[in-house]
Amino acid sequence: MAVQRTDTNGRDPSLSRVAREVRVPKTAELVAGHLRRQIVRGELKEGDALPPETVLMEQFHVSRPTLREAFRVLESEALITVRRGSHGGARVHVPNGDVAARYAGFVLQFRDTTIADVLEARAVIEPPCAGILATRRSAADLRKLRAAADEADAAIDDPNLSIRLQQDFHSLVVDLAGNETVKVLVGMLRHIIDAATYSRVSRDAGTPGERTAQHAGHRSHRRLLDYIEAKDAEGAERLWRKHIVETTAWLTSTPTASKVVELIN
Amino acid sequence: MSSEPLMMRVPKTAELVASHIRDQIIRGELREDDALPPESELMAQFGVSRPTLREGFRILESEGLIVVRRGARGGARVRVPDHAVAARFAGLVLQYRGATLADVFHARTMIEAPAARMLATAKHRAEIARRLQAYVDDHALDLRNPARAPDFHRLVVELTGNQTLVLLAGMLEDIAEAAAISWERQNPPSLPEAQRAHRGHQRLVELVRAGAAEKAEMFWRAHLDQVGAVLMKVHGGSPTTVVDVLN
Repeated sequence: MAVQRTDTNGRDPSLSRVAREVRVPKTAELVAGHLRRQIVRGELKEGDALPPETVLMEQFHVSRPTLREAFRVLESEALITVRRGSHGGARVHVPNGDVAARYAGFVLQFRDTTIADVLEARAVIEPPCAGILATRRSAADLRKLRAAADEADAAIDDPNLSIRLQQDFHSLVVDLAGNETVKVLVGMLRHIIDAATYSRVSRDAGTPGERTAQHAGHRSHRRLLDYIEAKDAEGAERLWRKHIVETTAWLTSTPTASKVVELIN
Repeated sequence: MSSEPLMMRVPKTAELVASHIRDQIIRGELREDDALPPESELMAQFGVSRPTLREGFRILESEGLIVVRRGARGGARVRVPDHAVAARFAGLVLQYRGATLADVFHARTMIEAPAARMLATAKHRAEIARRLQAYVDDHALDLRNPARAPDFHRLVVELTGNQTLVLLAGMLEDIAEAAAISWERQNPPSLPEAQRAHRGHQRLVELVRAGAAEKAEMFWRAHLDQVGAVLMKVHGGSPTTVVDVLN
């Protein structure tokens, strides 16, 4: 069993990897840190232009090369883009779940991760969300879930649409469970799970296997609604685990691809 | 989403160039710190102009897949996709969304408690227990200088063999680690605290070895909740959000 230790040891968590590896002068890292804080604290907004270089050089008492080095650090974190030319300058991009998800996808592809591995992780994370949601759900939550389930039911005869709406229902369960961190983590896997699911459904659309799987999915979603309405956390979690394990079994039998790298390239 | 206007401005050829190089990195054809060929060579290879090639480089830079250095020993060098960078991207999103430490610790428990169960049900749990025991023995408590054994939690997830969980839990461990460092600046670990943590680790090893799945999960959940509660105690301006500990 390969155990990766290199990422976790011997590094200074206060510096970005770019800063650690290319030994960005400390001042550039400080300038980058200052601007990064303004971005993550919401003081700078999406699309905002940073002040002209000359203004920032004066504000931070740094040279142009140092300022540009700071820009490169922020660019590598996708927090700014710098454009050349007359309308040039640095523009702010607020941290974005899609950027993080995309990079997580790179890591999984690079490690030759299997789709079964991603689905196993999902089967760990999503079921407790159903339990938590059953405990804390409001009347409004219940209405949203019911509307999502109704919409999916109405589309049952359209395999490709129906599966998208079913996936949306899964996302909604995670979102309404209310843990921001779990939302971000599941969001990182979502594009991989979706791609695996859609490609399988699209290949098998209309076959008895696909029809059976979709109908079983719809039934499970309905039953989850019942548990959540009854505020039965244990029942909701148990059902959601069973549903996800069954879905995983279907997706990994005669899959369209077995590695993440085959799926999203 | 907000990245889209950015993508739409990018000339299509630059995106194709970036995509070609990205594939080579992801498929392992280019290695960590490999230098990309000189610009003139790449321009000829892809049949593109210098500005287009540089636009391609900028895309790869913003994805953290290359760094471009200036000067005499300059040029583009490869950075292979890496857990620590993934954690950093996720950390930025959590900071921006104002995620609380309580929220992060709760998510960590949701992932790591089931991981303990997976270890206790694994076919090769004897080998897993041996690995965990070796870590515990290597980090035996120094009574004069009590310290945490910070990587035990990571090891628990790593030994599940699930790469996706390792990636996700690693992001949370980085934040937990930053919170612990920031907490300990004000509150050096006391001997009883350190002893409790070490006993907890030893106990988990025993439950895994015995194959006690239910108990392993419940015990690890309680342990994680306890660690989280210590780190979240509001105490003289202690951090309460991710943005506080990562900045």
